[in-house]
Amino acid sequence: MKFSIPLGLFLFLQATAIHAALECREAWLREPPPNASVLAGYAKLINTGTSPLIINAINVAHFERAEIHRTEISGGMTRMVSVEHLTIAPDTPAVLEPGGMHLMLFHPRRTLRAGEKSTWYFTTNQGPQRCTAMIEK
Amino acid sequence: MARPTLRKPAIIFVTAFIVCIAGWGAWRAVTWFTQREPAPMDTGAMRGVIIASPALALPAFQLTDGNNRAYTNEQLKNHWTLIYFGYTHCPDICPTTLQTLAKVTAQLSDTQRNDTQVLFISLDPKRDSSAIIKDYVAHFDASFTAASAPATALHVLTEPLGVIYEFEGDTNKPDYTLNHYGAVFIMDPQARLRAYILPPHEAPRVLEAYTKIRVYYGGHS
Repeated sequence: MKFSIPLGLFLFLQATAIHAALECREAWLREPPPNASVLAGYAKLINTGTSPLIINAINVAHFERAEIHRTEISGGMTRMVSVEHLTIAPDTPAVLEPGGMHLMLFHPRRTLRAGEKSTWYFTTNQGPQRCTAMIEK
Repeated sequence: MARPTLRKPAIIFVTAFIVCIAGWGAWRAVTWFTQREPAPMDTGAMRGVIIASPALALPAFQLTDGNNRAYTNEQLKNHWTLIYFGYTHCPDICPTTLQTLAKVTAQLSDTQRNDTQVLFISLDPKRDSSAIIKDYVAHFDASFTAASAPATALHVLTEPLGVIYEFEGDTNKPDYTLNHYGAVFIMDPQARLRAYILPPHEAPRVLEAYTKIRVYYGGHS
């Protein structure tokens, strides 16, 4: 009992430190066109820690599932490539942007409108991280 | 001795003949001037803009538009058209390009906008019905047109334009994707390919290229 408070404090601080390692800026997705079953999400993901951060899985509120993909453009052809694990080096942000890397969001569970928010849950090698994205026109 | 003189009917005949020859010559000159293929436009520093010179006439094709009406070469005539091929289950590049084209058309002058049509052609007729493509493009701009057709009918159009596409994944399952040629094609008012712009498509570059091409080739009907 005597050690439980410092231990608890330590764990709390540790957890806080882990959560702070991934900073998510300017996260957004387009308001879905009618009948859209797949959408893309964009953001700048910054590793504020000192060791590489690896995103292994993503869950997104209001969508059945989410993956990371990258649109590759070569000789006029556009193709999507799945990114299984996204590694973000310290001080080298991963930029998810239109026509590049993006979250691929499958099957919205309900109609989403501009102005609403969408919460992204990342599973990383340093623990969970949450990010709030705006739905934009 | 009296000089021979032409009789009045002969004078009228000769004059009429000369006038006809001159008129025909003038008409031919105007036709030549307006229909001649000019030197290819210099695209200068505009990256990824390719001019079709001479303009490429398309074979007779038939698609179905968002209102279930036939969309043929005739619908491309008497206005400029920006064509983009894609599919509605495309999460990133298709909505990004359509949004870019909406920005481009919003920045055109009223005159330019009134004779510009944006046409989205779905390469995925299995999932993209007329009703779906109609609602899809209207989300980006109410003036946009959409069309599609079964693969064999699409091929008549995609083959000469060089639009390559391939399905990825199991097309019997709902989430297959399409790798596809992502250029924006610029068609002139005679339904001919005048130029195309390679991706990625930034709105300022597309706007500059389209407006310059219109001006350069606009006088040659």
